[in-house]
Amino acid sequence: MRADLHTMEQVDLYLQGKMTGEQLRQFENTLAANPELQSLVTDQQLLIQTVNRKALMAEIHAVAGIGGAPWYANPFVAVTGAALVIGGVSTLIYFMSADAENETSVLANEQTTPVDSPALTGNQTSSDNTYYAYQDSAAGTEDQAEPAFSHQSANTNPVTDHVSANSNIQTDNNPADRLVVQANDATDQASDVVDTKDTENRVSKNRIASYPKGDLALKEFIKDNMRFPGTAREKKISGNVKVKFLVTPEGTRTSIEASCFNMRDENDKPLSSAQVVLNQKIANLFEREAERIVRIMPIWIPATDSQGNAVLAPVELYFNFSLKDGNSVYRLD
Amino acid sequence: MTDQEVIAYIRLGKREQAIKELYKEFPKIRGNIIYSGGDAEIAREIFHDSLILLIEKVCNPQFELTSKLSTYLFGINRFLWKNELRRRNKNPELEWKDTLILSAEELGYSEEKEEKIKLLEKVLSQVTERCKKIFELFYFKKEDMNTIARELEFSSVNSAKTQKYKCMERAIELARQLSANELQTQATE
Repeated sequence: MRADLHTMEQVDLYLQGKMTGEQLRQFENTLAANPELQSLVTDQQLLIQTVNRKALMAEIHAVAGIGGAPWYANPFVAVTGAALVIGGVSTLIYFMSADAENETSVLANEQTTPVDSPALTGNQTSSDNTYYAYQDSAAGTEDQAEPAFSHQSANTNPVTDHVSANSNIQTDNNPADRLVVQANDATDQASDVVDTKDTENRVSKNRIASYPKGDLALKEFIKDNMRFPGTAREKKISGNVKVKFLVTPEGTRTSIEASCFNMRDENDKPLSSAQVVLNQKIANLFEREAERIVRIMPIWIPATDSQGNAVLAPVELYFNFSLKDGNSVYRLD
Repeated sequence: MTDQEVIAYIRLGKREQAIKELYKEFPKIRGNIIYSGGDAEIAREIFHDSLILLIEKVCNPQFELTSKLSTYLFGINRFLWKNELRRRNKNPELEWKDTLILSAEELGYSEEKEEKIKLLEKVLSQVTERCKKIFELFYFKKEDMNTIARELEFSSVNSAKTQKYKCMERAIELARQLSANELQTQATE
């Protein structure tokens, strides 16, 4: 059957749930009696789903690809991501202090601090950028964010109710609704900022998290426990891995994320990018081993705040898997 | 972000923030998958597939969360990983913490449908860029035909509509050919 344009449009309307009343009943009656129409509906539905999945996957990849650091999947990655990647690849990062990175993160978070009415009048897709444009006023907006947050929490249910009542919210052209939506977006952002700031403040530098008995003991532990991956040994490849993780107030490690940022051949020459691609498996082996070693470490001494309470703290370790010199570890803070 | 906020973001089409939030669960899930014989690559694939299933679920207005969102996400990942393991003829016990045990019915997951979608992905890679663009704008971004006609520089809304119709017709035709071919090869094997 060659479906005509009108039929396909009808099917679109039907699948988008835009048919109502008499039109819907009529269509459903025709559908029930017409197997060809049924198969058209199924095909079209699946095709739409595939289109959506493809586009969604692209969005997911875009998010996952930011700075290659989903561990810190925060807006600031977008800002400092490029700098971090370059820093991670070159040895430059060895000279960047962890403090500098933390400062950047706070700064970037402040950039997302929402402002009142002007941002709300922008259109929905560009509102993110609008937030960034207001970074200058960031310092003064925290008091505004606080009441906005409580307002939001009181309204959470109405928002979702409103959403579920309208299956096609995105095509909703009612300007009043738009405004509600945006207002809630803004307050959502506010709650983000308040939350992050809270934890940011709690991660104080009064005492940093440390390996029990100090960094020398850590180096010993690495020497004794870290294995050089067999395949890498066979291929005579050495590598460097950066591991980011959080030390909990209990001294355990969570959110461990390793990335291999450098691989070298037997002559200590860095691998070409083509070789890096070919040896992705080995990079993964290095990463797994570095993650494993962080996981099996003894309980760490947690960081503390100014009152001496144990707090959650981020740590970065750099592991060197070297065929010549054995395994070693560096810490930069 | 609370679970309700993540859900609201997804439903409002502001998926990026939601995905970022959900991505925070990835390290744990990857750990679980690697412990039971996977590697980082397959973990990422499965996690991305699980995000798609979750977002599809959440977009359904009838969806109601009965557990923590992360527990649900873990459940989808466990389900997909178990599926993958079965494909590899393995069936280990997966004891994941804070994870919902989900069945295919609960998840609305069917192999047959997934196969069809895979086939349609092939089809989509064969249609023209312009068709892809129209589909994406109309179905994913939910733009109306006027905007699409303007954006893709069609001479009129009607010609955009006709083009979209032709694209759809062509895609469905291709899909039917492809699946017929596959049936044939299966029969001859």
